[in-house]
This record gives sequence, structure tokens and C-alpha cells, in this order.
Amino acid sequence: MASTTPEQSGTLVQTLSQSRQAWSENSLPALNPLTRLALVVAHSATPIGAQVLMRVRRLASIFLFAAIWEAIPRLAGQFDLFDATFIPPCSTVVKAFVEICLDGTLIKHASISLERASLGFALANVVAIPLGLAIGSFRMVERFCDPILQTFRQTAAMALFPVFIMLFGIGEPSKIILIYWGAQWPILLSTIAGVKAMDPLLIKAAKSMNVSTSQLFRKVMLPAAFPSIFTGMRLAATNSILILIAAEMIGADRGLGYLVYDSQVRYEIPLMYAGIGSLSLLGLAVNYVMTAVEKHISWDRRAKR
Amino acid sequence: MNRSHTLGRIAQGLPGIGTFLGLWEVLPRLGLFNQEYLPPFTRVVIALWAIIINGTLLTHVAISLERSLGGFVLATVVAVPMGLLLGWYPRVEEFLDPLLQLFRQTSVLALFPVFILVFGLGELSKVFLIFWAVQWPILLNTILGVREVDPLLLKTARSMNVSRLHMLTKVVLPAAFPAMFLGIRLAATYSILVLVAAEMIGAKSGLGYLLFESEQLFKIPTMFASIATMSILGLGLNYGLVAIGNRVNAWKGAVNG
Repeated sequence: MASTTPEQSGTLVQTLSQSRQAWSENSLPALNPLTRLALVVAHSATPIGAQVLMRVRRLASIFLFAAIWEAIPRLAGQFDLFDATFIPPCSTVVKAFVEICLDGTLIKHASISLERASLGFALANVVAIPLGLAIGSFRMVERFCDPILQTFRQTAAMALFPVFIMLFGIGEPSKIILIYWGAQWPILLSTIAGVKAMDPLLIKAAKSMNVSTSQLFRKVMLPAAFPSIFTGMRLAATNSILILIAAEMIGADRGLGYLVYDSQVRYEIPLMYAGIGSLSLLGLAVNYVMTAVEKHISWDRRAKR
Repeated sequence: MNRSHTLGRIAQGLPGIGTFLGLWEVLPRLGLFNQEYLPPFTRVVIALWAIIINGTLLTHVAISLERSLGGFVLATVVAVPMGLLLGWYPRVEEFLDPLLQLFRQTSVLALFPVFILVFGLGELSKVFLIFWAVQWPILLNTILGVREVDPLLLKTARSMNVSRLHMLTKVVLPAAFPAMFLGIRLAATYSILVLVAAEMIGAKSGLGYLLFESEQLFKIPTMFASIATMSILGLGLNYGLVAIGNRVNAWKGAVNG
């Protein structure tokens, strides 16, 4: 601390604010290493501490919920309020969850579920986005197709599961195609809507520059319709998880949906709740990934969360 | 004018529907699809007529509608006031948000076994399932609607010294209604999906069960007839809700269906 730099003449706050400015420009002033370290700690410590505190505060309701979940079954067991076997306390469920994490059961089921969901979802994107761009750009085609699309959208995907089983067998293809089917309608309809809502000036401008049709689709229409397409993709992602679970409950011998169903049938209640919990985590993760991807890709900075 | 517009839209759609039905009729007959698995359209219509005549369809549809309506009413009664409350007090919403997000991501069907364990195999578990599925879109959209009420409306009302109750029922509720109604429409589509799955997994009646049973008994035309009934039901529900929304919202301009 012996070296006298101009910063040290001011108050600590001034020093901090000055060096914070420098910090943000990625060049710390020439201080001795110890002072530098102290400044770095001083800078990062407050935000990190505040961040942790904020996180904890933000998750307060989760902790409260967990505490109630822990307490009520225990109290019910004490005072004979209701049968606590159906709602085991939180800690029992967490224990079951850790167990299936450790012995590999969870990985086995989750990986097959993820595989089905992502294949079906990917297939839906590959088919529905180009199709939607094509349908949306021709008014006549759109009018012609609209009633059929509306009807198909209203046909609950689960209702078609027996049909897909008959057509594609009871193996993986029927499940993947079911998820594809359920996921494609939101994507298709929102792509069409996105193309229809596009600024016609963009297309005219591109045409006047003599772009090819494929370039028009890829470079103009796709980016312009993207925010709308992405809304459909997020809906589709949520949808595909719902359908995945239902399909695995009705006809599968692996997967998270099967895990939940099977543990209910075998009366392993904590395991069942652990399965449900992992499904929620899967849903949260999918939602998180979609949000992150949207933020990353979207060129339209006005796009909302 | 509105009616002729609707008729026009239907007329424009007829060729599309006609082509689809024509293909459905011709392709299986030409042997491009196995007729056992994909019966031609006319055979499905005959099967549909048969179950309409002998009353099977009506019983199953009635049961399905009853479940779905029960869940719907329950969800609206719970989620709308709750949404108004959470939208009105951002602090509370902030506190509950992570929990709401977690619950929303918890797929209803995953909870079906829990509802069966807690409420038994009867009607209650299915009604509750629908309630659970339907309440999230309604709740979240109501919160959003209340959030986005024009502050000018609130300030005006406040300057006229209205009571809190009046503010909520006469200002906030109507202003938030379009968003709320969007949630209800989303929920309607969703509830059919969930109901069908629930009836396929564990029920002895309802459209989902009819579908499941006719597949098990290999009555394929009946199976397609029940699928078609579900689609028509879904379409009807959607258009019905759009019409109601337009009527209630007439002062604000039409909703696009």
C-alpha cells in the first residue's frame, strides 16, 4: 500500500467508482497487486452477495412450499388426519430422487424420453417451417388449407395414438411421429401467421434486387417471420412434453412417463413423486433453453421474453 | 355483415375440406392404404351414424363434456380471482412466481396418478385433472391482463374516488377481460387434449374411452368416428368461445379467430 497513486487521494467510494469505470473498460489502473486484488474483491463481492441474497429471496416461495410439504404429511401421520402414504413428506421424495439419480435409473428413462421428444420436435421443425413459409406466401393456398389445418389442430394428438400404433407399430416410430404430429401444428400455424404479417415492402425490396426464390425464403422471409415462428416453437416444445408423457403412460416400457405410471401401479409412492419432479425439471429446462435460444438467435431486439 | 363474412370464409374453405375428404375416400379404396387400418371416409360416416343412432355417442360425449365443464368452471372460479389478486399486488406475485413457474411446468398428466391416489378412480380425479390443466393459462393470462391495464383508466377511476371493490369489478376486470379470455380459449383446446389422454389412461366412459375401447376391439371405423367427434367438438368449442368473446368484447373491436 506504499505506492501513491492518484486514486488514493480520494475517498474509498471515489476510488471504487473510478476504478469501476476502468474495470468496465477492461483496464485496471496501474495499482500494486494487493490493492488491485482488494478492489476486485470489493467490486465483485457486493454484487455476488446481493445476487445470492436475491436468488434466495426469489426462491422463498419454493422453500416455503417444500417446508409445508414436509410438515403436513408428518403432522397428518401424528394426528391421523389423512393417510400420509399417498403424500409422503418432501424429504422422502428427495431421498428417492437422489437414489434414482445415483443408480442410473433416472438417466436411463430420461435419455429415452429426451430422445423421443427431441426427434419428434426436430422433425416437426424441419417439416412445418418450410411448409408454413410456402403456404403463407400464397394467399390462395392458405385459404384452401386453412380449414383443414384448423381441424387437424383441434384433433387431440393423443386421439391419434391408436392410429399411429396401427400404422407404425408399437416401437419408437409411433411415439416419435405422435410427438411430431402434436408439435407441428403450433409451428405451422404461427409460421403462416408470421409470413402473413410480414411487411410486404421487404419482399418487394428483395424482389427488386433480383434475389432467387430460395434466397427470398432463407434470407428475407425466415428472419422476418422468426419471432412468430419462435412463439409457435415454444408452444410446440411444451406440447411435445405433454404428449410424450401421455404416450409413455399409455404404451411404453421405458421413459419418464412410464416411470411415473409404473411406480404408481407398483405403489412406490416416493418414486412416483420423484418421477413427477424430474418431469417438472425437464419442462423447466426445456423452457429455459428455448428462452435462451430465442434471445441468442433473434435479430429482432424488440422480441419479448 | 359479420355473418356474411363468416359465411364467406366457410365457403372459401369448402374446396380444401372437400379435397381432403375425397382423398380420404379414394386412397384407401385404391389400395394405397390398408383399408383395415384406414377405412374410407364413407365407412367412418356409417360407423358414426350407427353410434349416434344407438345413443352410445351421446352418453360418452355427455360424460366427457360434464368432466370438462366441471373442471373448467372450477378453474375459472379459482384462477380468475387469484389472477386479479396476483396482478393487483405485484409483491405477492413476485413472491409466488417461482412456485407458479414450477407448477406450470409440471405436466398435468404426470400428476394424474397423484390425483387418482388422492381422489380415487371416480369422476373427481378427472375433474380435478382438467381443473389443474386449465387453471394455468387462465391464471397467467389474467395476471398479464391486470398488469397491462391502461394506468390512465386507473388514475381516472381513482380521481373519481371509486371504492376498491368497484375499481376491481368495474375497471380492472373489464379491462383485463380480453387477455383473460385468451387464456380461457387456450385452456379449452388444452383441456380436450388432457381429457382424452386421461380417459384413455383410466376411465370407463367418455370419448377417450370410446376411442380406446374401439381400438382394443379392433372396430376401426368406430375409432375414427370418435376421433372425428373430438375434432368437431374442439372446433365447436373454439368457435363458440370466439363468438362469446366478440360479443362481450364488442366495445373493444373483434378478436381474430
